[in-house]
Amino acid sequence: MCRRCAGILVVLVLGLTARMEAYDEVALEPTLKSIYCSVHRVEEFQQEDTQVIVFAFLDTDCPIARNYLSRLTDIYNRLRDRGVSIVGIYSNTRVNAWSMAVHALDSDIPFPVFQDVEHRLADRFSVKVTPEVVVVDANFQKQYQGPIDNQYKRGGHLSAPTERYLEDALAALLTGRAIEINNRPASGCPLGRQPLPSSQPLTYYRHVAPIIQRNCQPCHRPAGVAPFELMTYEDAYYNAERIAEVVADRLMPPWHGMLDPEFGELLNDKSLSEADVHVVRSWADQGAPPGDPADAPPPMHWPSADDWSIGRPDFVYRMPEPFRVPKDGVLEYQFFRVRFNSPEDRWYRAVQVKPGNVEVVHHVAVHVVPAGNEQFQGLAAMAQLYGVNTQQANVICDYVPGDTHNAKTFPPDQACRIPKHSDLIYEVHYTPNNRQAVTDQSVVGFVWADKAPEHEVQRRVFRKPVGRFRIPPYDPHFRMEDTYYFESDIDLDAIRPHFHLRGKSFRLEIIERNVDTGAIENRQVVLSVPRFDQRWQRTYELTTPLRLLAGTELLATAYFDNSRFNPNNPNPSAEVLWGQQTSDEMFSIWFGYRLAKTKSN
Amino acid sequence: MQFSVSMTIVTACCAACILGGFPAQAAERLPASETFSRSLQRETQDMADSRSSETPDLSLIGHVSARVLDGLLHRAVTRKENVIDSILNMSTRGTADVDCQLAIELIPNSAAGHIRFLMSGHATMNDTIGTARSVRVYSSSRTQITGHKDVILDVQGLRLLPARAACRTSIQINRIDARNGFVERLAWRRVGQVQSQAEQIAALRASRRAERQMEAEFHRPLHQLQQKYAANVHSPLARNDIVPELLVATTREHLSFGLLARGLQGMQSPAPAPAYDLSLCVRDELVNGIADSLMSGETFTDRQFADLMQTLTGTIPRPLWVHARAEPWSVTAASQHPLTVSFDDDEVRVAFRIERAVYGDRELLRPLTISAAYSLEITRDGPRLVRVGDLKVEHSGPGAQQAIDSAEAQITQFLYRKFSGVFPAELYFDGLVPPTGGFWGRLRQLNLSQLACSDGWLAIGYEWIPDAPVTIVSAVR
Repeated sequence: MCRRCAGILVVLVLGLTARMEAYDEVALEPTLKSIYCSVHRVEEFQQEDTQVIVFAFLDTDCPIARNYLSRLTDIYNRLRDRGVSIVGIYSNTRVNAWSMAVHALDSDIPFPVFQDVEHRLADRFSVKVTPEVVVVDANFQKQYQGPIDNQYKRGGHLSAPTERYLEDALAALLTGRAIEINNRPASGCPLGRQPLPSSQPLTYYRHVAPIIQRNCQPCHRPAGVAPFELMTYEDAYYNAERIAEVVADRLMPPWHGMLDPEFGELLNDKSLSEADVHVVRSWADQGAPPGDPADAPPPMHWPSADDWSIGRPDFVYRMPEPFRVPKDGVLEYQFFRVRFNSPEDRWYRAVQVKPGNVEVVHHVAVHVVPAGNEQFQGLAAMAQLYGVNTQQANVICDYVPGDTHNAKTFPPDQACRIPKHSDLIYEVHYTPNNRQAVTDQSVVGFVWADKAPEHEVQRRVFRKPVGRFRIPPYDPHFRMEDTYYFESDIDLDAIRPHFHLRGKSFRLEIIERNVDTGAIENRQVVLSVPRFDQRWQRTYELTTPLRLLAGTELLATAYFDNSRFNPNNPNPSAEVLWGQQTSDEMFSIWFGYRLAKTKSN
Repeated sequence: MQFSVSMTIVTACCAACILGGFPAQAAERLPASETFSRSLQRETQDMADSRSSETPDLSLIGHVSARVLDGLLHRAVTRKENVIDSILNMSTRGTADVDCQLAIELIPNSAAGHIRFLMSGHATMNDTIGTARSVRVYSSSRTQITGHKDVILDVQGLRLLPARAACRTSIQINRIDARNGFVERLAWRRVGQVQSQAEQIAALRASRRAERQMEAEFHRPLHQLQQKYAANVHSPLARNDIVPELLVATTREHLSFGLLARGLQGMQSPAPAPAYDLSLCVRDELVNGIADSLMSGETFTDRQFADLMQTLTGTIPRPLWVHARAEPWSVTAASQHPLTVSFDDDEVRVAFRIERAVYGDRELLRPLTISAAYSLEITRDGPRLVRVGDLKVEHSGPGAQQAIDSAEAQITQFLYRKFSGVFPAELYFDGLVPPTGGFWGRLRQLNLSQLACSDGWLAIGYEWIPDAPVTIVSAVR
């Protein structure tokens, strides 16, 4: 009996040990987080046509790694069609998905980059410094590890490399030859593996609640747009790890734009400060203690869904009839005429577009057209309203998901004009919810200005032309550029880039060209969006208007990710063209501005 | 797949008037297949002979196949429609599920284009409730729908004939509710007596609804199209007394049109025969003649050139940017032959003659000729023009040999820079490409298959690549 019991006990212990070992293996499996914060395993880099994978260990701050980015880019561009994949890996504990995305955009890195969570991949390969490359073959067998070449080292550099270790290793692998030396010591910046220690005991009521109240509750509250509430300690406690992770990754609060400090700050900037992020993370790490409820900030009053953010509007214009959105299918844009036809110009100082059903309303644009009976339908309507190339668009206000600009009150000396004898056309893009047919009846509310303002607020949409708008299949970093200018000196107040599901990142620059050659001689970044999220189509408003002289050239650069690592990508194998539906793509920028008060005006 | 649009073609032909046309590929001659255009030519010849002693010929020929028209306009329409009616003193209401196909067919007509828009399908109502006093009649019905709307196309534009529909309805009575059994039995008897009459009335009403539906589907957009044609094309031509003599005809397979070339000099070669689903052949003399009428002595501003290029290419080339800190400029076209375009040897050559240029407060009064030649290519992104050699800006006319002073040289150099934006080294028509998806996205199924340029003719041909039909969702409003 005892021997049988002992046998059973041994089996149980062995089984448990085996399970614990398996669990440990799973726990130590490298976890790679993309700029979108989706998590991947190394096996996912193995595609049908992949022969070699190069894990390039990088860092955001390492000058030696920075020196090698152009070389890695060159190798990637030359060999990507021959089955060589390069993957940028950021293992430094200091780097998160957001800072990695910023670095990737600033450095124009064309290959996919990933955060190595808890530096597990670096540990697996015993990587100590950046830059360092690890080359594996199609069977994930390591073939080479070491420096890229011998040009840059810690403490000195050659004018040009005399040995090209990585390229030689790749050439050998692609031609079936043996690599002479598989391991070389890399020289660079040591990898930081220690997390920042928390400085003091933190509690919910004293330290975290004010941050959550200010930054999370605008959406995470009863009748808010977020899927769960963060109104109580219990709400925060049970979501503590999740909150810590999303604020560290800068997924929440959702804010993706960065204005160059030279141009001031962005209005309504929702991003958390580094200090606040550290508080939230440390509080979660400390077990999310509640503290003393007496330390809690006073509760805030939040508006109901029926309230207007702009205050009580003077006039509310509703779509003439409810529109029935079918359960599924693809709907072309719908157009509804709202008769306005004022005998005089009307000026409004505040406007808010409220969708009747946020679940199915993708966007609303309110156009001004001459009063009349002409009906607008389909793409012909788009051509009529926007002109063949958007040059005649007259959108006075709009609604896009997640934009604070959906409700806008202008400063006292500014207002927007609705010309006399005009009607409003609601352009609405519906996306069925695939559950049930629903109706929508969106509204727009105006607060009138008493008189014509000192500054008329104007808007302009620039759109990349449809022709030759092609994003190749599987391309993780497809670049498109477009240039704009204004005909008069202006004060630029707002910028809103617009893309669909493949939109990855964006940059707007002021550039100067050589008059004779057209080459860019000077460039200055105005706005960067390192991680574009089409669910949050932000209008980035400048606290200090940016004066642009007539003819100043603005260069917009958009990057599209049509790879399988883009979690929003419905079909990486598709060549993506310009189209209205979100499965197609767009590249347009909306500007809000005023004519500058100068002699030329 | 290359793609473009009929609008592209039309606009590009207009552009050809100014810029030098569309790309043509290779030296292959236009296929001389026996197509309807040949018979159109014969008819044209007969018509012209009967009316004029001048040598008749065509300077523009085009045709559109029935499958292109149907491919562009064919669609399934499924919609729900709330129906409230009164039939034989009984108030009825219910929801009709309409499931129809909209299609196009061509009706043979040698004097005009005759297009028939067809609607066929059925409507079912499963929840109709009829009420008369205390009696309620629950029924279902099925209505077969056939209808058409004819459109006549000639030089005046479109003439829209009223829609006609004929429906056939069969009604199934499912249940009758009444105050008591006696009334219910009476109601059943009465319903049996009047059912066929009710079906006829319901069919008649359904026919009227179908006609209204067809008018809503076709009349409004076609009427708007006609208004735009009248305002933007026909009226300006009429004002200048240059309305062309346009011949339009249809067979079951094609809609064809031709422009009589009377008055043009130097007809050197017969018109080629278009042989694609969508094709257009245009003679350079026609372009030059139109340019003579519309451009002679006219002044063109910096903004007009910018707008032209934005329409064609989707962007304004940097040299053509118009803004408050740039000197405004304009050119005045020569009073005779301001634009000369030639379609020969697979090249489009264009010469724009000006007699005056203004740049800020400076003025150049010497004639200048701005010329460029383009070779033509078909690419997967549509036509591509590649400039052959450099853009030329040369003094012309009687004083061409006289030396130019530094101010004239400066303004000449200025015009060179500006017109390098109008005649760039490479030209794509990115501004005229339709977006993917939606109704107009079907135009991407037109595959640019032929571009030929020889003997004074430019020919463009598109093949139709069939695709799966599209269901347009129309919801109850």
